[in-house]
Amino acid sequence: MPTQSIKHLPKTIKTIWIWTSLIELTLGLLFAIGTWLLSRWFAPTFWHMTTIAILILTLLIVIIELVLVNYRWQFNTYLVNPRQFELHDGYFFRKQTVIPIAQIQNIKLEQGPLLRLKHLQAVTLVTAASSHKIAGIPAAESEQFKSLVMALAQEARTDD
Amino acid sequence: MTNPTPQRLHPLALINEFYHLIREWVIPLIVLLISLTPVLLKAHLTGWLPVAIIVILLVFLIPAGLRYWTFKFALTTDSLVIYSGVFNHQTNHIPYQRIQSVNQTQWAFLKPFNLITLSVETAGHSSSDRPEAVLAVVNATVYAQLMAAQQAATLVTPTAVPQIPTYTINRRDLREFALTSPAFLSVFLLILAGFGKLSESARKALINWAFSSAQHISLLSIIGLILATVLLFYLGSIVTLIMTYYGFTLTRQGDHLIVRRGWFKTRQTEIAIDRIQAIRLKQPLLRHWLHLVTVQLVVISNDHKNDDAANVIVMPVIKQATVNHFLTTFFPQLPPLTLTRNTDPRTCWWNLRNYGLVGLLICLPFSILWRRWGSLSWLIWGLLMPMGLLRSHASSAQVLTPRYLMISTSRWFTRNDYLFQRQHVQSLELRQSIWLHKHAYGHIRLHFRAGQHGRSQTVRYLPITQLQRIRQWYER
Repeated sequence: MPTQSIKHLPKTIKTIWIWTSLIELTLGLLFAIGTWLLSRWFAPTFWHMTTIAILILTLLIVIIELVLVNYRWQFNTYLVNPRQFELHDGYFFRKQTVIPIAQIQNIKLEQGPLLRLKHLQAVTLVTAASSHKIAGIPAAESEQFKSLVMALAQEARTDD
Repeated sequence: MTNPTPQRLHPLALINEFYHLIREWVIPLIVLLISLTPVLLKAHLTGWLPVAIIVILLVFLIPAGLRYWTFKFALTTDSLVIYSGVFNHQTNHIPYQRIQSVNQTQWAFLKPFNLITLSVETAGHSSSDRPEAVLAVVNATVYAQLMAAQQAATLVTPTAVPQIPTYTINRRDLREFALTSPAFLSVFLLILAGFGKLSESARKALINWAFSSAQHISLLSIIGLILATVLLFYLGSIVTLIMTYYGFTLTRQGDHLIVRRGWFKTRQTEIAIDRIQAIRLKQPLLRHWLHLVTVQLVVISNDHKNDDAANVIVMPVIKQATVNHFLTTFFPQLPPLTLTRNTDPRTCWWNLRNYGLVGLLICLPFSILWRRWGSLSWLIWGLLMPMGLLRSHASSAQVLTPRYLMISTSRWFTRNDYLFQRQHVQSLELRQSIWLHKHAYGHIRLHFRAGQHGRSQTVRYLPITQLQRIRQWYER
């Protein structure tokens, strides 16, 4: 049985978020360089403007993301009990989601290269009408999650 | 029952196949004809144009005939079997147990032949998003045969219900329904959409023409013209609605509801009770004022082409005071419900503020950038404020019984009250900003299934105590 207290995502997820932002920064920069090279070829003013716009947008997004990493981690929590999942998100704009396990149609575990480095898995809970994502939890725990959902789903089904 | 030999559809189905084929190919055909016309003109062969058309039509008869010839169906002891495909033979077995609903459609011109269209829906998610099987033109007796076969297979003996709940619309209700429908307002959307599609220069020319002719014609005749157009659409919508809802009948048979309606095209739809996800009471502004309600069912359906399939009207129009009576005759387990009015001054203020700000965002740029006529945009603001007021009055969420929840809100001058069973709410969200937290207010959002997809309904600015009660009800 899992613990029934409110849990944070593992701290390693912060590193992943930082890395993701840095990758975005690199991609943005590459994109900007591409448009700048185009400007040497034709329509210089248009491409210069595009380069500047891309640079500003990328920097803005990345800076905001980096600043908010701690905030995101601090106020992104979850709770599992025998009947439901609860996801909490945000402080300034708070969102609490209740997903009864009986309503979960399927559970999706995903692992990209970054998550794999830190042995984490992203979990998506899919109901008949909505889907809810938990950004990353330890792989062992997510497996446990999966079997829990399966068992409880079976139980809930026989309950009816 | 012995396994019968497969039978073909009625010969008139050939016309149906032909029609569908032509419809699939109509655009390429028109393009072909238009591109051929100059050639024919040059060669002085215009007289051959009708011949060409006839030849093309004849060519299309061949595949249509083949399709008709290869399509067969059989009602075996345990399943409905459909054989189809000209080159690629397909056999589709639909076990009777899997059939969720059988819908009938009958066109007025096929009534004398006693022919109908049957479409069979199953619970399974077929990849095609269409009903599992469509028997395009068959004798009406096939429906009875199918029902009998289904009953024999599922061993459900029709229990003798002392009285089957039935409702048939009377002339007065039908008239009331058609007269109070806001459907005709879509004419404005049509005009706006058409205007948006015009090119920049055409738009300018149109505006200039409108202004220059406006100087010649008096204001009165302009208003008269607009009113006449709206009236025309209004009359049109009345006629269409009366045609589509003519003879509306609702019957409950065991765990199915059967809806029958239409004059020119009679449709009979079956809804399995366990597919109902929510009951929706809908009130466009006019009906709201007249205390009339339309009752719809939100159901799961595989039919994605048909938007109505997710919202089935089970009661075109009914007096607000008799809604409970109607609902309990068809759904005896439902608790009594009341349409509440939210008089919370805070809810009202926040709603008005939001609508007002949106209005300002639209109107200010118009009136600043376009001095002379831009001020007309304040009309929008004048529409938005009552809209906000209506929404604040409608906003509510109440737990009725341990099983049922009702939430109400409004959009575009239409009030919607949804009645949910706990098991049909797929997930629940409580939202709150830090500023609302100080006032102990928040928003609630429910996710539920409708048609093929998920849908959500949000009620904004409710006291947090009320929301917590709903959460407890949901978590129980």
